[in-house]
Amino acid sequence: MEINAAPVAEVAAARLPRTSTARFWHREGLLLIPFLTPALLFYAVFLLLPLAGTIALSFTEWSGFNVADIEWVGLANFEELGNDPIFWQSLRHNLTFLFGSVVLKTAVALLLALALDQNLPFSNFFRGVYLMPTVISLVVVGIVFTLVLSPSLGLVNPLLEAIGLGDYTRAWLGDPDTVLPLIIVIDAWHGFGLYMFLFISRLIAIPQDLHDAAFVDGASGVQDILHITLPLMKSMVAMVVLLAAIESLKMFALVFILTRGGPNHASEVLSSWAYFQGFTANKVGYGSAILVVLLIITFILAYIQVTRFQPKDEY
Amino acid sequence: MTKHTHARTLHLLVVVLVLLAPVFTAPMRGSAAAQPSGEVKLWTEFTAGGEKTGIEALIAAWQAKNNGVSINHRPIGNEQFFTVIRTGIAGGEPPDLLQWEGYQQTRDFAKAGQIVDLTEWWNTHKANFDLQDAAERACTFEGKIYCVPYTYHTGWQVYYNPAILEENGIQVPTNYEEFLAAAETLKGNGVTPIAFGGKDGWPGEHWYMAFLVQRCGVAGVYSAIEGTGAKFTDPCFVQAAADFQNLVEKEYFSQGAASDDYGTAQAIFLSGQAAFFQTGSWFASGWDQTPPEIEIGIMPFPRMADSAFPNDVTGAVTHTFGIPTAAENPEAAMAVLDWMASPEGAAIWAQNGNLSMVAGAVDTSAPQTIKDLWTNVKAAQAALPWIENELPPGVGEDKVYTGTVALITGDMTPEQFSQSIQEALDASRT
Repeated sequence: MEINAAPVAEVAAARLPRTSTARFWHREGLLLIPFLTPALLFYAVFLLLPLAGTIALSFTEWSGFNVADIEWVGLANFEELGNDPIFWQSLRHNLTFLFGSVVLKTAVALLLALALDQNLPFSNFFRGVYLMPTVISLVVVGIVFTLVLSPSLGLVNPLLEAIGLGDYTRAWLGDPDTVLPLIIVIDAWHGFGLYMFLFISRLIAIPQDLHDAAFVDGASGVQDILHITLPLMKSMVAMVVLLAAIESLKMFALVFILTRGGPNHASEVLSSWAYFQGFTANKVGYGSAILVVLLIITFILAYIQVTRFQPKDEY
Repeated sequence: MTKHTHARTLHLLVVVLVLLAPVFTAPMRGSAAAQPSGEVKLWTEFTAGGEKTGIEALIAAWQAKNNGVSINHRPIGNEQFFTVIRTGIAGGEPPDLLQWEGYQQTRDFAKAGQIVDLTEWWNTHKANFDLQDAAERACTFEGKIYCVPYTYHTGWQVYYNPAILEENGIQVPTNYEEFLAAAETLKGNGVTPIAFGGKDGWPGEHWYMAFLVQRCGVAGVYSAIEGTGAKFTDPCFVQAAADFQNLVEKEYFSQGAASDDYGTAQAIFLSGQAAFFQTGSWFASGWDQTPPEIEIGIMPFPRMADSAFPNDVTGAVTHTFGIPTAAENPEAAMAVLDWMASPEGAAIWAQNGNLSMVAGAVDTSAPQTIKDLWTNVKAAQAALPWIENELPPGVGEDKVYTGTVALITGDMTPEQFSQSIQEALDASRT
């Protein structure tokens, strides 16, 4: 039997305003306003306004003591960046940090998610254990690792000596060669738990039928992971990479607590250098210019991720 | 005189009295209006030791007066303090009474028109203070005084552990050569000679300064800071940096010299793991309230036999008080400040182990340890304040602070360290 739906649609269309925008407002707009307004207000007041302020300040010279002293200097702050070796050093550190931290966090989180998805004994216990570092404040993490890694009062060097590896003891955070890799490892330790949970949530969403079909066709466990699971995880991996990358670029608290950017700028990142310029050297405009560069890098990364790494077909 | 005339005179008197009433009562009403009242918001960095107990005792004594002015104190940790007060001032939400660290901070606040000119108050009360020249240097901008000096901190001492020295057969060093010999003996015996945490930069700067005043003198250092002849690249400045790096190279500092902070170094010393600890007089300020668990001796910073400036030391007016121009209750704030700088207020401050700058307060009220430190301060010919407060912030807190850490890690030679300071200083003047 043929169902003719046209008359119903025509009746409905006749009741609604003609344009899609008008239709939207007629149907849901009024209902959305009370739900969206609080969030939009917070977004505008605590993100958009400070963001606009930072961008505006990057074109000024200001000591930060009196708003009346703000002086427009155009692109002078950005020109100064070119001659600031610490800025370039910080940028390099940010990129190193970005690469190292993203790779570590993603790899560890994915491997553990795959392992915990196998329903091994104590899987739920370990899920909780691995998530614990994520819920600890970065400031607390920084203070704890400062003490643990201290050559004088810490635990690491005595432990190495106790197991016969005394030759490897060192001033971990005071050595320009080890400080940055260490911060990357600490950051990865702190952050991988959340990403592991994101991966697990995606793994659970993969239909069991697909795995069953693969096994019926003779696939091994490894082949199932390589050819069924991982391809279906692409969108989640892309999201985790983006989130981890943005988190790495924003890195401040850990660096500030652990090293203050030292020794001798060996762990300086853009945000800590911007903080120093703005709040210690009384160069708020210059500090803002550094943050604008950081903002641009973050936007570029987000744009690439959103436009290039969105899978088209996924269960 | 008739009855009628009496009545008229009486009426006239009443009219005159009514007309004159405002004249008589005006001064009374005026004095009532001038009487400050309400709440005084006070921000300080007094969060520990004798500073904490001192400000608490001062506030308790003031509140007990019940004079209509109450104090609402906000203690802010040293690391965040300057950021917080600057944000408060720039944002138009300062407290009524503010403590800061004088020198460059005074100049920054005053230049921005954010603090009240207290020249008149100072000229009236100046005679009540010790070390008036140092006080004026900390509080002056363009010939005017913007703050009241309150606490002096001396850096010219080394704390030592008598038990460790005795165990290793070492006498308390009386000069730098003996100090180096003691350090060598201690190192040879497997004892850490000096507890040191240079992560934040300023502990290294304080060691560097102790050598600077001996090699270049206070006047020489100021000449370099002000660009009136000397330069940081001059041999005496380079030598001072080399003196500091020498301690690192000889491995006299505790292991985490570049990465440990001041608190860790203090913990190393207080737990008996190192023999010496060089820091300011603030370390001893709370000992009366919470005595250290080990016996601690204090000796003057060991002077080099060939020191060209045998009477110069390090120390500074570290706590000053002033009133922001945007304060809501400046009259009440001034009343509180006036009392804090009185003999009564200064005595309370000194009792709690602080080097009060009000004349006589330390001598009459402070614990013996603090009195001894004060005697040394007053015996010195000249004192070099913490140089990061006299240099532009980008020079002091970057090139000097970071540079001392670079000297520890070996990333800089004394020449490079000195060169980087001078270059940054030159750049700041252009």
